Parts: sequence; structure tokens; C-alpha cells
Amino acid sequence: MMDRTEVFKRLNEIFQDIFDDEELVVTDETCADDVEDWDSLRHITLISAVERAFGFKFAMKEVLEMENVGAMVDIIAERATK
Amino acid sequence: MVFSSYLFIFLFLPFALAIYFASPTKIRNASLAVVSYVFYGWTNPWFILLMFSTTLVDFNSGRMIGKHPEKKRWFLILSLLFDLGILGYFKYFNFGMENFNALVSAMGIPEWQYAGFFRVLLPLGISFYTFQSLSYVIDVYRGTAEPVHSFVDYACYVSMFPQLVAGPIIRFTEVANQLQTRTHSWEKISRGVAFFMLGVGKKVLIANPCGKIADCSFAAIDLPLPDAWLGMFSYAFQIYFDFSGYSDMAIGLGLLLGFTFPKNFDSPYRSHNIPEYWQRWHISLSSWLKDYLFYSLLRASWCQKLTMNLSLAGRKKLSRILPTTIALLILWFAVGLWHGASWTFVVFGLYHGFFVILDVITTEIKGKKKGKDKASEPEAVSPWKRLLKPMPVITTFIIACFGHVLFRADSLADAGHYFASLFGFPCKDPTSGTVIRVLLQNPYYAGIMVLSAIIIWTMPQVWDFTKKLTVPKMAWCFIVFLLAILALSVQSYNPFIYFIF
Repeated sequence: MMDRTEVFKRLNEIFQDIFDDEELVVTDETCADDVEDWDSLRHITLISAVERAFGFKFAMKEVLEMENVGAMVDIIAERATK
Repeated sequence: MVFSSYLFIFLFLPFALAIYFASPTKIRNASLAVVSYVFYGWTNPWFILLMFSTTLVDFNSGRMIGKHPEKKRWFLILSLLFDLGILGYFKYFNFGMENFNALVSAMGIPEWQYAGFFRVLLPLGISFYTFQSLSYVIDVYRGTAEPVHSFVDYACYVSMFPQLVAGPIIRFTEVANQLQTRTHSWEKISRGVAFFMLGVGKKVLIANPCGKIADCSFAAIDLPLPDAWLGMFSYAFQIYFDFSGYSDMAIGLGLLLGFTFPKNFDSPYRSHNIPEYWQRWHISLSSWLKDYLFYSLLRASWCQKLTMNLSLAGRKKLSRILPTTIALLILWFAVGLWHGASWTFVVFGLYHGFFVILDVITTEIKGKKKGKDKASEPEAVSPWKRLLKPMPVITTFIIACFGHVLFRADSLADAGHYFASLFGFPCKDPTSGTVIRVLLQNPYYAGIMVLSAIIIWTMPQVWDFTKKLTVPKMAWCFIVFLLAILALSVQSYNPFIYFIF
């Protein structure tokens, strides 16, 4: 199981890249309402980038039902292969 | 059987409600399914077999996915092939054959033409219940819904007469709990009655008269410019009040039976751009296609590979734009084709898709215009800005109206003629105006047009109006309903546009 701090560090870089915002910092509670441009389209782009970076696939249920970054980090920490 | 008919209001509905409420709670889903099958089979009893077979296949696919998750892909494919096969055959066979014949003729091999093919009769509302039933199987496959154990509950879900033939397209997850237990309260019943009465009013008092003006315009080949615009606006009003009126009736009937259905219209003509318009028009269809088709396309391996390759090549913006654009083109082609088996509908879909894609590209290139903290910015008070404030709404409405021309025209050539009239040419006989003449001779029609605009842009939605009902509000609903019932006795024109889908 990957360390959550490590996941957050790498995930933050992905968020900054996807949302074109170098000052963006995500926390457990961050959700789509908190980040400018985080709409359904950008959500899928984000998911794909996370999958590539951490080497695993989210289930569609997870893609649709993740409520915040904390939930995403939990899944990544458990299933990341790289 | 349409909702806004004496047959439905005074015969079918009282019987259906009596049977439903007289049934013990345990068998209410069964009795609702039975009356719904009677409703569906009223015009053509054979179509019942089609709906039943779709129900049977999807119910069993859902159960098998739950029992054998390792083989779930195969059961999903079975459902997709069966449902889309039936839909494809009944809805698109004629269209396919016509295009095949035209193609071989154009290729100079007319002997290949398939002459004398039989015309397939389109079953009522097949696109609606097929999408509804498919959503269940896909949800079970994705793990976002549990397989249902009762066939009666599932048959009730697919066949429920309030939304069976023209939506809203209800997801299984939206009513799964309500199928198990639902309450019946005076609050729900009074809101349901209000919804139904206002829906009938929208349909009979507004959509039907607007439809007469629209029919008059679209039947003419050459129209003077003002007539063409008025005809286009009257069709925009007709289709909105027709379809949203139907949705209101469906939501109202659902409430009478204890079900709460989601909103299907959210004042779409008040949208500021086309993507927003589609978030507010026929919401159940656009969200269905987004969740089940668009997401699946974006998650498909070809799309992911394309994104990755472009990203690795350093084309970051293109890696976001290109796969999305391809997925959107497929999506909007499907939106068009869902509406009907005709090139006018395909072009209608792609026309709307063009504006959505344009929005995606400009947003990606320029950056997002809607800031999350924009609300905290001081309001612009410049008189110019105030004057220009309604412009996005007006522009979006007109873009949507042009789309309606494609939707309404019998062929692309007719649509072309209508667009020519809209821009002032080629009108051979400018005195042959029919729409303005009708409006001038019958102030009733002119009044309906003005009333439509007032309702669309200034009045609260039925959804909000019925949230807290008072005696005066109910009295208004009754007056509207009574007027509609009276009008029905003299109206011979009462079609539902979306019934043919």
C-alpha cells in the first residue's frame, strides 16, 4: 500500500497540470465545487491522467461516485502499481 | 392514447388509479405494470410483446451479471445487442434501406436496389423505454446499481405508463427504493394534480395553437422574411410547451402514484449558451447520453491511447481537445439519430454538437470564463453591459430555433428553403404571407404567442410553482385545466411531437 503523503504529492502535480494552475493544492476534502474548471469532462481527463501515472484502472462506479480527493487518494494508495 | 385526451383523462386515468389504489400495497407494482401494459397496447397490442421481451432479457442480464461477475461483459453485450437490435430494426430499418437504395443507385448499380421492401411500423416510445431498460443493465455492470430480484418490480419500472412513451427517461437507481416502498400523501397527490393540470394546459392551450401557426409556415415553400421568423418562433414555442407539458403531466402522474421523478426541463430558453441549453432541455436524455455513451467513449482504450500519444508528443492542449471532439461528434450524431431516422435529425444533432465542440475548444484555448469565485466580483454597472446582458440568452435561443428548423423540416432541402426564407430570399411572392395574416385575423393566436414568451422568460417553472401549493395556486391550476378541457372539445389538432421517438 502506497503512503498517502506520497500519493498526495504526486496527485497534486497531476491536478496542477490538468487544471493549469501551479498554485493549486488539494486536500482530503477538496471536491469538484472547490476547483475552477472541474466539470464532468475535466473529471474524465483527470481520471485518465491519474490512471496513467499510478498504473491502475478505476472502476466506472468509482469514477462516478468519488466524492472528494480523499476518496481518490484512498483508492490510489490501495491500488497503485507505480 | 395521449394524456391530453378525454379518453385518457376521463376513462383510462380514473380506472388506472382506482385499480392501483384498490390493490393491496404488496401487489401495487403488479397492478401498475398491468395497467401500463394496457396503456401501451391500446393502439397496437403486438407492441406489448416487444416491450415484454426487452424487459425479460434485461432483467435476466442484470441478474446474471450479479451472479456471474466474471462473465458480466457477455451479459452486457447480450443486452446491448438485443435492445439496440430491436431499436435499430424498428426505428432505422426503413431509413437504412432508403439510404442503401440511394447509394447503389448513385454508384450506377440500380439493379442492386432492394425493391419493394416492407415498411416497418415504429412502436410507440421505443427509444424511451429501451434507453431506460439499458441504463439498468449498464448500471449493474458498472456496479452502480444492485440487480433487482423481483421481475414484477422491474416490469413495473420499464412499463410505468406516466413516462413510458415520451419520458422522462428514468434511471433504475432513481426509483429503485421507491419501487420497494413509497408513500402516498395529500401533499404528493395535490402537487401531482397541479403538475398534471398545468401540463395539460401547456399542451392544449399553448402548444397546439402554436403548432397550427408553425404547420402553416412549414407547409409553405416560399415565405416572406417576417413570416418565416414568426413561424420558426411559433414552432420553438410549440415544441417546448408540447414536450415540457408532457413531462409535467408525466411527473404529475408519477406523484399521484407515489413516485418522485427528476426534473426534465429547466427553462432551457433562458440558457446562455448551447452546452447550458442541453443541460436544461430534455435533461434525462442528455444526462443519459453523457453518462452511458460519452463517458464510455472517453474511457475507451482508443481514446486513452490518443490522449497519451498526444500528451507524450508534448501536444498537451490537443491531447485534451482532439479525443473529446471525436467523442462529442459521435455523441451528437447519436443525439440526432435518437430523435429520428432521417438526415434532418442527424444534421440537427451535429449542428448542436458543433456549438458544444466550439465551446470545448474555446474554453481549452482561452481558459475557463466562469470562475468559481466570480460571484464575489463587483457587478458590472455600465449601461452598455446592462443592455448587452440578455444578448447571450437571445443568441442561444435563436441558435436553438435554427436547430428546430432542421428538426421540423421534412427534408434537408425543405430546411434549406426555410433558411433561405429566414434570410429574405428567395421569396418569389412576398405578399403570400400566411403567418402574419393568421396572427392579424385571429388575435387569439397573436395573444398565445405573446403569452408563450411571457411564460418562458418571466414566469416560474411548474416545478417551483407547485413546491408550496396554496388554495389560490390550486384554483389557478383548475382554471387552466378547465380551459384546456373546454378547448379540447373544439380542437382537432392534438399530436405529441415526442411520441414518435
